[in-house]
Amino acid sequence: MSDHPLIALIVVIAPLSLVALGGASAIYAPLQYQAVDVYHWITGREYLELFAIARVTPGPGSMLTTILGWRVAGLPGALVATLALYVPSSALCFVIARVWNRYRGSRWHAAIENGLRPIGAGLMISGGVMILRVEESGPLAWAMALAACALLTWRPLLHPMMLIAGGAIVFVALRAVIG
Amino acid sequence: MQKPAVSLLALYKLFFGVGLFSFGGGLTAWFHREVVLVRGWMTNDEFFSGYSLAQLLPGVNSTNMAVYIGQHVRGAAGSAVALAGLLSGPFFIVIAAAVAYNRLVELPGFTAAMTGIATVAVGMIFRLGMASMKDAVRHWPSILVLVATFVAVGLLQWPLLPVLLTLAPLSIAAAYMRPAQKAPHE
Repeated sequence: MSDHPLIALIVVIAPLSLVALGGASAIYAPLQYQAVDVYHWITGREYLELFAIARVTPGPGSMLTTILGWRVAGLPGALVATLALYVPSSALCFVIARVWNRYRGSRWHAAIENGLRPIGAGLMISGGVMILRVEESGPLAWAMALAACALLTWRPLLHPMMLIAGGAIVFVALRAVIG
Repeated sequence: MQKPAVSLLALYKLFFGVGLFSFGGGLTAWFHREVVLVRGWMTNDEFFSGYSLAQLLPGVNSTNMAVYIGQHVRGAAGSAVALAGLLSGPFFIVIAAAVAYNRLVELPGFTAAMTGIATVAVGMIFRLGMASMKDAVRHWPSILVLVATFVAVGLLQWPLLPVLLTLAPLSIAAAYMRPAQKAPHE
């Protein structure tokens, strides 16, 4: 355990960057353990609050580490925590992407690409289902999601900002009417 | 380079804009719209294979996607710029929100608006999922893999990693052997 808060942030967060297999959800539990039980930076309740903040702000949900860094060591802490989380995995992804694009056209490249595509499609649909499940907003949320999907099928280039604004307004209005 | 040169500034602007408004997780769908449909920097095949890579590699899907797209368009500098663009807006917003959190949640309609945004983002994901399905399903093993992935991860909520490590080799092997199946006489 390092005494210097910035170094401690790197020591805690950087390894999580490379174990975050399958996305950010893999880091939440180990990060909570380190931040709450090992380093006592924040309480468990505060950790949940960071989680909620990161969910309602733009950017990946994993940006809760940015706020954690902010709580621990101000702006430098926020910067260090953010870099520690995203740089290692991004560097790895860059190297793989480069190798990947270099071998485009070979038979095994095509096989990997074609083999992974149905998995990617399955995961994409699963991801949407999982978000709706977390939101726990019932049939209304499903109806909204399917309506947005139908709208995009009809108008593929409809701007996401229009959808986002529309979604917010409609949901607030429906909640006010239905309760 | 046969690709049209894209300026780093244009790359930064695109990712900054998407990052700034990326509530609720529709990021990949938005990337697809901008990079494939509107700008034509990538083909559908290139995009979706990058998506699968982004899922398989450690790290957040959206940042991996930014790195992949940046690399494709402008190499190392492109990756760095795309990543920085994606994260720089949210970086300040998330800190500001942390400071103002208690007042934010008391705003009337705030949580409902956020839920509404999330549902629309899911709609965007579903739409992209449909597009990706149409391309992915080219022979029966891929239909099987797609359904198995969805049932295991989306319905049964099994842990992602073992599911991927089981299905990916099978699916890749099936895809590798496919040209041999198409023998001239059957």
